[in-house]
Amino acid sequence: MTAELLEIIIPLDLTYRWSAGPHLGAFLRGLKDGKIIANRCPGCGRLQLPPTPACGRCHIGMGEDWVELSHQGTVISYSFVVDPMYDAGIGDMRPVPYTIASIVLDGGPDVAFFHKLEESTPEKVKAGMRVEAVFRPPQEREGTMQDIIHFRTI
Amino acid sequence: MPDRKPSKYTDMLHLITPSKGLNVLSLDPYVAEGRLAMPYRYFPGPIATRFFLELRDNQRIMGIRCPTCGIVYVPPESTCGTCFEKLEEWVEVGNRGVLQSYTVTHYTLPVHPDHTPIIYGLVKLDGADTGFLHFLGEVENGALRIGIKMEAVFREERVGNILDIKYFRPASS
Repeated sequence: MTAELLEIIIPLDLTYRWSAGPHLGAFLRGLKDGKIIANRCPGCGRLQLPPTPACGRCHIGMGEDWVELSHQGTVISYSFVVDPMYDAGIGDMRPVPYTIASIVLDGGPDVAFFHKLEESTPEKVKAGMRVEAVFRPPQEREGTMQDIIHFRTI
Repeated sequence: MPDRKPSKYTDMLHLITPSKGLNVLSLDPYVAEGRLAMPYRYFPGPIATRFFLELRDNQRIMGIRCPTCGIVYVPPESTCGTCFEKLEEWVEVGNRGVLQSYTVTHYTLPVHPDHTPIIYGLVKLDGADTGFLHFLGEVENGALRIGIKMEAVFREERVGNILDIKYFRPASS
């Protein structure tokens, strides 16, 4: 047995290109314009957010029936994140604490939308609370989920 | 909010440069460049450690012999694949061997070396019973044939991993 035991460090760092496709692409372009866009199933009329190419219930193509949703909604569930978790997408620790929530937008789909809440005090966050999206200024938007900074309490 | 200690792998963050994340290249069609940065630590264990240290310090390629069937494994294993014997008998094998098989690749991915062609070869070193998979280099066009003699080329600066052998090249006779 040797005294020295090797430790091999692999600095794995890969880039990739990702094509969002027409449906998610329409949603992300909408964010850049300050809009939250869902699409409607031609069969059951259900809205999908983010938009999907096929309806999960009817198993048919969703078409291009785009619907712009309200920026206001209701929190149905939430979680306080306090562990500084590593984020492979940025190559750094994700800043903490933050509050992640599942939000149903007004007039929108029964599918919830996940985003951060501005409010991080546990006592002030409740299921059923009303929130609205806070967008970055137009010139700072790039067409990513970060174009919405967070949802603030109304 | 309770204070939490950062995770253990923060000491590897200096190996990578943080970025802002998704970089949108085109909006319609929507194409973005993403990133997957996951530095990790790998402990090769006592058998592979000794193998790598011999490469690094002595430029020697070591194998390990099974006491039951006599097979010499290169690279060394801790257990014989046929007899399930624990392997402990180290033997030095030659830096030269016979090319058993090879493949020539004309494209690269980010995880590969940044030149083409990349040639992988299986070399059965003198004194070994198993093929050793590694890169082949210094190969003239059309010079490779199954059965030709190959020799290991070591790096000048060796750090204790498999790339301390740069590649195998056709042996000068």
